Amino acid sequence: MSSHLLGDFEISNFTGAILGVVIVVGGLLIYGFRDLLRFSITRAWAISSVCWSESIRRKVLWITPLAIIGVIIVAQLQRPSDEQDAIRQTIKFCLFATGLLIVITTIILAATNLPKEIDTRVIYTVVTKPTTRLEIVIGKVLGFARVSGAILIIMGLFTGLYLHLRASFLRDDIRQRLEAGLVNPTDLASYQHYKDVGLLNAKTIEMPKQMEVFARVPDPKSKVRWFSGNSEGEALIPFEFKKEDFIAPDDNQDKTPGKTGAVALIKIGWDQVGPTPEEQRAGKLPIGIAAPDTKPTTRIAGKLVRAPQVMVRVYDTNLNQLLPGNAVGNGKGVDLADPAGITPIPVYITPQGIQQMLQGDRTKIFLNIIGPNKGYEYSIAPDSAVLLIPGMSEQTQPKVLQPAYSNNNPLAAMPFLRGRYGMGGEQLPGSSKETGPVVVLPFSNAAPSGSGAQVSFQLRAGIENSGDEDTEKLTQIEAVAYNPKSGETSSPTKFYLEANRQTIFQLPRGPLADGQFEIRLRNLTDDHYLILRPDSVSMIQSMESFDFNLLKSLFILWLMSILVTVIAIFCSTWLSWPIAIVLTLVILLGHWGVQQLSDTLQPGVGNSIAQDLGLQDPSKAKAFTSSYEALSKGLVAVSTILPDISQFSATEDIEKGVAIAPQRLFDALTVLLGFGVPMLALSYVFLRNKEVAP
Amino acid sequence: MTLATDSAVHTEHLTKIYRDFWGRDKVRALDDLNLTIHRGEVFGLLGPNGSGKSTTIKLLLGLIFATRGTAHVLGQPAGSTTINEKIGFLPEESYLYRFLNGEETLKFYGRLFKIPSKDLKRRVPELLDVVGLDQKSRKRKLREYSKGMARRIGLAQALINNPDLILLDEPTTGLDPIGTREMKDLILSLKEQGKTVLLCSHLLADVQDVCDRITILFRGKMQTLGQVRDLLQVRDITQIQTRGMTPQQLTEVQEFLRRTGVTDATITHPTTTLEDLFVRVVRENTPGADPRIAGNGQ
Repeated sequence: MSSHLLGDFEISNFTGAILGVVIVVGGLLIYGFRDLLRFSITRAWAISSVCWSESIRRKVLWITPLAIIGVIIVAQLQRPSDEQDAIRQTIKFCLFATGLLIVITTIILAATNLPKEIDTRVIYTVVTKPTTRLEIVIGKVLGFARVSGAILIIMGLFTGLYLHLRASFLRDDIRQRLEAGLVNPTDLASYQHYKDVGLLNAKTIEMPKQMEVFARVPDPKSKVRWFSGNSEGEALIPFEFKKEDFIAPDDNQDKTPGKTGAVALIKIGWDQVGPTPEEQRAGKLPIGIAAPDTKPTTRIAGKLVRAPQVMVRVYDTNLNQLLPGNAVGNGKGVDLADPAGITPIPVYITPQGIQQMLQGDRTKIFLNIIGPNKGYEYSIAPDSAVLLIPGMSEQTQPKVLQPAYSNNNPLAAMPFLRGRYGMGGEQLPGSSKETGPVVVLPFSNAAPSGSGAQVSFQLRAGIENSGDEDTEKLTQIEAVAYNPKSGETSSPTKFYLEANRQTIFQLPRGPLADGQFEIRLRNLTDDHYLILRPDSVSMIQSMESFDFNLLKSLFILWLMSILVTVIAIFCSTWLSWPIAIVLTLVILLGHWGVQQLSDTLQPGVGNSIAQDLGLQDPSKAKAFTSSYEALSKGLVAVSTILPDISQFSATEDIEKGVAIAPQRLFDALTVLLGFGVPMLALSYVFLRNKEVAP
Repeated sequence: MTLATDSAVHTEHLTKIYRDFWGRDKVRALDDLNLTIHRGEVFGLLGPNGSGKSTTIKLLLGLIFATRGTAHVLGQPAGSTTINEKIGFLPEESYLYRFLNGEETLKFYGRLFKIPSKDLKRRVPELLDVVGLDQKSRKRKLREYSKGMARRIGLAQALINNPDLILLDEPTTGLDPIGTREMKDLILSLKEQGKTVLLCSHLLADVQDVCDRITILFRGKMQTLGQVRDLLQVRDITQIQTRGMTPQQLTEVQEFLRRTGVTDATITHPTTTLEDLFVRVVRENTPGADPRIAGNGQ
């Protein structure tokens, strides 16, 4: 889903941030003010040196050769789809092994260190020196950060050397195959690219701001946009509201919102672009057999024709269906009135539906319009839908709620169109005709660097076909660059695509030069469906050194290891080491775990589960639902104050050959400081209040 | 100036009760201890196992917190990190990092006192000499040390900062008689330097040899307190010691006592202690040994 649609609905970390500030101010600046003033880096470094010496003399670093051997063995057993994939997988193995190694090592070292020193009473001789508990905590964090740094240096050197060696051999192989003409048509452009720039890349890429799927190429002079029928396309219209907006205009009594329901007034046009299923069947029937009844429902140019229908639904901000089918338009398709989409069609939303919609703090919904009829394309414009809130009396003028389009953001100024949505992304149907469905990917502030005539793009997408087609048929794609400002359109580039494999294609620099452009993709192969997401296409803006990229990746892993150390030390200040290890893992994975459960923690899921369990008794069902909702809220609340380790994204970019953006480093540093410093403060407070003599 | 700031150690109603998980009293380890140790004295804390000696030391060092009462060390509340600059502590066993060698251990503790590297280079070998660890031992990891060697390095770390107050918990445990003698000599030498020493032991002979004052704890309570000499003095028996009396002089002394009505006088040659005998034998058979540690029995 595009960022502008969901951007407003990210979980706020405000509570967590406030809590962090309170802990740091209370723990370090107030309670520990004296120790903060006494803090000596000499003492902290001395303590860290002991942690370092202990780890080295206990031969902790010996684990790295084992990991290296493991990586080499696994890399030999891999089955890559091509040379770039081989490098990608090797990077993944190396960094996965490195990450695993430092996380396990630091958890074990840091979580056991303090309890062991207390157990063996070595701590006596340290705390009876002029050492503050703050220096002990920071010293230990520094010590284990040095250990993880050493592991990272060893693993980083191995990773760099091994990858350079491997990439060099594979590039020679590519060169020979190209010279011998042994490369498939689908691979040609990509192999040429690998030959030219190598396999160890760190590309700076620009991603599109969003992705829309249209039935026709949008006409810049018109505000009308087209989406496909046969449920292959749909439109989303945003509405923002307050609860009071749904109070009937003439309700002077209890002013209950939603009492009169609401009416979605839609104006959708259509165009028949192919035979309907009925017409297809009629064409195939033997002579003398009548076709099934296709009763005309509307008159066009004096002639009665059967009008297509649309289905209207209400979606939440995660684009999940919010209201049950029977709450909107009685769950049935609505016949459209005229092909031009001038006549408004009312779709009634029941009071129960509105009340369900207003539950919680919801202030935004999407009206979803799908065209189910095959052979049609549907047109929509910014003024195609409004919500009416009727009065209690028929004479009362209804309230009108306009769509929440943005005047400032051109990407959110119109109904949002998307393709049929599945697990892998949105479908782009294939069409060998002159016109057909098109994916539009707008880029902004994405001026390509360099001065070459061509600019490289990369595309990775899934491919589905109807099943009864020739599976050997290649999927051909057409790409065009369009500059909305100048109106310049590039000549089309055609290339073949393999499913889920990165393909490089090139477009002329002209329309791209000012960085404000659209990439339009068409699938030229009938019965093939391209499965796309906004990040499926990206522009290669420039190239960075792979080694520098590796360094950034290792730095992110190092930041993560420091966070792991801080958490493990915090846990070990008040728990025995086995429990400290477990709690460290829970804290580290808690946020991620709740994220994985996100769908099951949505409001209303408790009710669904109660129904699934067959709880007939309303009181039992209510008790179950409220308990479930409370548990969900509790889990979500806890997760907001736990660290989001997904921000330590060290492998995702580098394995794709993409330069790690400074923002990634900043995000990792933010989580480390935002969570690590309060944890450090808590560790200090706990340790200062701990009787270290058992 | 109050006693709390003037004395080396001052406690008032110092009490430590260990509690169980539910907060119920489990053990009353120290009960209402009122104690003052003056600067420059060697003070002995005596008592059987579990009497509260180690608890007192842990409270003075801030390793545990008092349930009730107050404790001041060198004029500041016990456990203050500032005052730790002037304290040296030898725990009852040498709780040190076993993977470091002798020199590294002392350097580590020296850095905790922020002693400059230049000074440490000089001080570390000096201290290792003082506690009697030879060149070879200094480079060995502590896990390879014998118990006696571990006590010596433990003592060295307690002295690294040239402390004003030294707390020694069972300092002679694990030491051979020569080591014990050296330890006692060192304690006396510290006293000569004006240091305060708090000695905690259940080896009474050791305490008797070096302490100015002692207290005896039993079941967490202070049972007695005073000068060693006063506490041990037997007032109704008189002892006269001299060297080189001839048999004739001895007969004359016995005759004099009988004449003056003393009928139960015993005249014998004093015996040396077993420790003195052991030290003398070892020293006499060690070429080039330091005669200072040969003992009183010579």
